[in-house]
Amino acid sequence: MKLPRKPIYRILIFIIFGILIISLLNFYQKEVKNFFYKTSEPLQKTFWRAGIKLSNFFETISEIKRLKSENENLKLRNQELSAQIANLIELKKENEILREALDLGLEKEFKLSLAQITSKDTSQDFILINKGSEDGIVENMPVITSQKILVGKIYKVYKNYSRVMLITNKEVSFGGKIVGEEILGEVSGRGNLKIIFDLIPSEKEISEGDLVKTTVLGGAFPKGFLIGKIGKIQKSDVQSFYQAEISPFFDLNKLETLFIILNF
Amino acid sequence: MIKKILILTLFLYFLILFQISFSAHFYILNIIPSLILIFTIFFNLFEKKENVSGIFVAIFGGFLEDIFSNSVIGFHILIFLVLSIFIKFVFKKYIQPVIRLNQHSKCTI
Repeated sequence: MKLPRKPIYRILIFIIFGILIISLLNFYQKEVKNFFYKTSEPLQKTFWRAGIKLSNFFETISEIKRLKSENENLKLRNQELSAQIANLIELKKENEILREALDLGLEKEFKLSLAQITSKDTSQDFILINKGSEDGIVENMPVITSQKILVGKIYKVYKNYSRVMLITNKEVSFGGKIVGEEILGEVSGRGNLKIIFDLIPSEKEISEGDLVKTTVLGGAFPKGFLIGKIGKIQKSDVQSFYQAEISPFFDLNKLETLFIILNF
Repeated sequence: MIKKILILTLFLYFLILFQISFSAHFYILNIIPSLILIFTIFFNLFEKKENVSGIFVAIFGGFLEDIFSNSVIGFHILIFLVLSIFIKFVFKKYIQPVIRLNQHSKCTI
């Protein structure tokens, strides 16, 4: 059978063929994407590390002045903290003795899996990590840093890779609490690496620099993980609730490894 | 032709990896510029109307964007293809001659 030679038929055949291929690729989307991620991983890792190095280099140059004054402040803060640590060591000893006495034992630790970041989406509020269904990863598992800072949750799982939805994503919202205070609110992502602390009762007072951690409310994340610190507060006398910006603790430009909580 | 397509395929593949792994660390106003999109636009702008390599760049570039992002396969392909066709047939046929004519009349004045 000869192919029709008129250009309009050729274009039509091309479109039908294209739609068929795309439908087929979408049917096997997970496998196709996993194949591309696996073959590209070595090169992606090299690019990722080079990117981190270069961005750190530029950051250092632009921040030398700020770093000088910050260094002075940190030295003072360090002295203060050293004194506090000395006090805390005393308290820890006391606490241990009391725990033993009450026979409570330490809290059960989480079962963690170490993963490396391989790429960041152009839409920014997603990252790709090199652990997938083969490593026991399932959707909605919380993702944290080694400093126990909340990063996000597993959104999509491929065979060897997983896509992580950052807590800054517009679709994420969960319960949060000011550290050391009984002030609860809703933490919700705003996209472009921004988060807000919403639904704070107007009778409760928070201030810039307050730390926010997770609560069990909403059940999306385990309690006690740090989220960020309070930035600009937006308060009006008319409304019964107000909100504040949160600057997240995690910095994607400095992160390479993450932990996934397997037993949550 | 095959050599050109092979070179373009390899270039686009490196470009997407560069975009998602390297340039992802340097965002401007919280936006990571899509190098693939920029390349597709410029490639189609500077290519002759009769050549079809621009269409290939749009399709393959869109495909790679779909693979390395969270969207379904076909989403970026469609956007890039429409953009490429727009540049090739609408912009070059109707808008560019008007711009040239305006520039020419300014020169004669």
